[in-house]
Amino acid sequence: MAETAERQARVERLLEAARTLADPETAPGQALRARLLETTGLSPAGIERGLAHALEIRPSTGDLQALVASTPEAPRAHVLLSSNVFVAALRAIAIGVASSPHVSVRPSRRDPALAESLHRLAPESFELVRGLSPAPGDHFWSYGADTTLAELRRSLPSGVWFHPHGAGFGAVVIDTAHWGSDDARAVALDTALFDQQGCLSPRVVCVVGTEHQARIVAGQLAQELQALESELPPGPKSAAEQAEARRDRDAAAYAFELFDAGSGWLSCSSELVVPPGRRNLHVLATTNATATLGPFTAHLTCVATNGASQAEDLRRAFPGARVVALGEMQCPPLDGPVDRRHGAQGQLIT
Amino acid sequence: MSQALLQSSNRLHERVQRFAEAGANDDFTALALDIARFQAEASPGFRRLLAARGSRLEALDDIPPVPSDAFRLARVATYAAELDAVRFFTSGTTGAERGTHAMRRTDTYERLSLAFGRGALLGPEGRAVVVALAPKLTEPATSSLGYMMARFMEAFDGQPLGAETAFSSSSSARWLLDANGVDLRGLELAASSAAQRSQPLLLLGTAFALVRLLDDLAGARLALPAGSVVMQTGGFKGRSREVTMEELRAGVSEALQLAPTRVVGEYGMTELTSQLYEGTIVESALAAREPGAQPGVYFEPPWLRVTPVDPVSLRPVAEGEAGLARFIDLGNVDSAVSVVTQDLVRRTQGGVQLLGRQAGAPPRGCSLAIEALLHG
Repeated sequence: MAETAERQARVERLLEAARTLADPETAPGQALRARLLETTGLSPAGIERGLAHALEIRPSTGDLQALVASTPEAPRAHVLLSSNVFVAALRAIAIGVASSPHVSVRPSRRDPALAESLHRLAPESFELVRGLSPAPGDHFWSYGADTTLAELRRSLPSGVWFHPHGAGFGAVVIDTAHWGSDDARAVALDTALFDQQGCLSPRVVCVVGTEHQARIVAGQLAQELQALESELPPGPKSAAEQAEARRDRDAAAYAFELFDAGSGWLSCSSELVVPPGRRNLHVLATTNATATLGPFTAHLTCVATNGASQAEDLRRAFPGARVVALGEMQCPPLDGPVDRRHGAQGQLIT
Repeated sequence: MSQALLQSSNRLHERVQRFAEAGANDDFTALALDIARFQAEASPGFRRLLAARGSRLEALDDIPPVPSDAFRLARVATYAAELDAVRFFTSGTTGAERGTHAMRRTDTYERLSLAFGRGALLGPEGRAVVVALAPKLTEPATSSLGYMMARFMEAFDGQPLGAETAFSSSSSARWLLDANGVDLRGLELAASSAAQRSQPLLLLGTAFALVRLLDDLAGARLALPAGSVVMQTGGFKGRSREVTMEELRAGVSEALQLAPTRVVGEYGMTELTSQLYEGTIVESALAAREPGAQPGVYFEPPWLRVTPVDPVSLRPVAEGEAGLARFIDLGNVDSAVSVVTQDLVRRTQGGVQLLGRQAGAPPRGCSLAIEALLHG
């Protein structure tokens, strides 16, 4: 019991630092915002909304207990961060801190801002390192592309417990019988946050209903995404990103019915397609959402739905994904890893 | 497809074939715009693309190019699938899925490919013993390259090879690559047949297959008859070791005892009907058209235009600058007359230099990174 309390206290100390950073009135908070503008590619409004809406700084006691309970204790914890959405560093480090009093973190080279800022405010919680050297018995959490994780796994010594967290995406399941006036905005916000670069970000919308109903939903979502262009502007795009966006839009325009949504678009057809993540959604009508999404089970991290009757089916069909209400895709409680596709105990390298 | 559209398509095919044969009896721009207008009428996808880009089809640059990705996502055709005569599949260079280019008529493809292939690869006689460093063609053909190779065998050769009693483009004596490697004995026999006929050997192969040939020869030489030509096409697509085109040209010319200029690059894509070639075979019609053509410069036939365009605006870039390759291919009557790829090119010396694929933007975030839209 005392050990559990100590583990929770360690996480609390980290969260205290995060709360300081989330506060725009503090000097560290302001410095972090300036740095994130350079590292994330998001707009100032996008960064602010990420900090306000998706940085889990006030978990309930129950969530914190769940986080500790679901995290194996380790003599040493190693955390390898990739250029995930910037808020993901907090959860990743919190899991390491819950696991062990000795935590080494290698930040993302491209976006080290939050990890470095947390370390400045809570240097006793973890150490920042350039390289990680796990020993047998240590636990190693790694975040990144699936190919990178596979290579990393091969490089780890025997006896290390490996916790890989690869890429993924979210989906939305709409029950047209319960589609309310605020629902389109909720889905649009989940989409626009982090410019749809997060593994929880929705990319596919299944409308349980007719193709006509799917088209109506697509039109409403397009309007809301268009409206968010000024409220939550996308970050600046590099020339290469602009070129890819042009190519994807043209290909989608040729292949599907397309709805303009500002910097992004919505495509609509009877087949399941996953569009690239630049505030783009694909909308399709279905009579069976779990069957429709089935081919992407391994990639699904989160499914949002407005249908209570759908939720249970979705939980059963996609146990690795969090099933949440519309608008809550980007703020999962701090009760463990962001998605549940991998077991909590990790994989023992042999 | 309505009968009226079918007739429109057939008329356009005939105009394109006449244009290819006569050269100047039609106007490239007028023909391209007529094909684009036909495609706007017959293809809902192209109509949507036109609307999305606000194009009015009044000038060549108004024709919105269809991204090559679209061939992976949708059927790029002006007619129903039951009218398909062939379906060629892309090799899946970039994504998990393969694209399809279907054709209702193959005669246009064959006439255009043969006309420019003969003009680029052969001398005035127009004859050669033709073999391919490629796996035996499947039936029905699903590779546009394999299909073209078979047509070259029929049109440029057409005679039995070695001990054969009748010509067959599907003879295993002509397809000299399988999972075990290159059939070196078969290549020797083909070279010997060419020498007996006093004809050159035309050896067709991908860069990958030619590397395999060099590996299998392991430093040995296999001299081809005088005047022989090696047509090299395509990249490596992740297979085997990769070498530069210059290294490959040098290695092949050394191994087969040919001048380096006899190793000719061909550039083609499943999404296109027409091909480009280097113009280094001195006795060829292409070399006569493009005197002094250098290796590394690829030339279009009159019915194909390659324009480097800005990757974002798709407008032509300034003279001499690199841009994405935008093709206006009059042969693509029933698919997409204008296609844009991710290959970078630069216009030079009357032709184009191939500069490789445009680098993609580094992925951000932890969202599933896919290079383009992905099917379920």
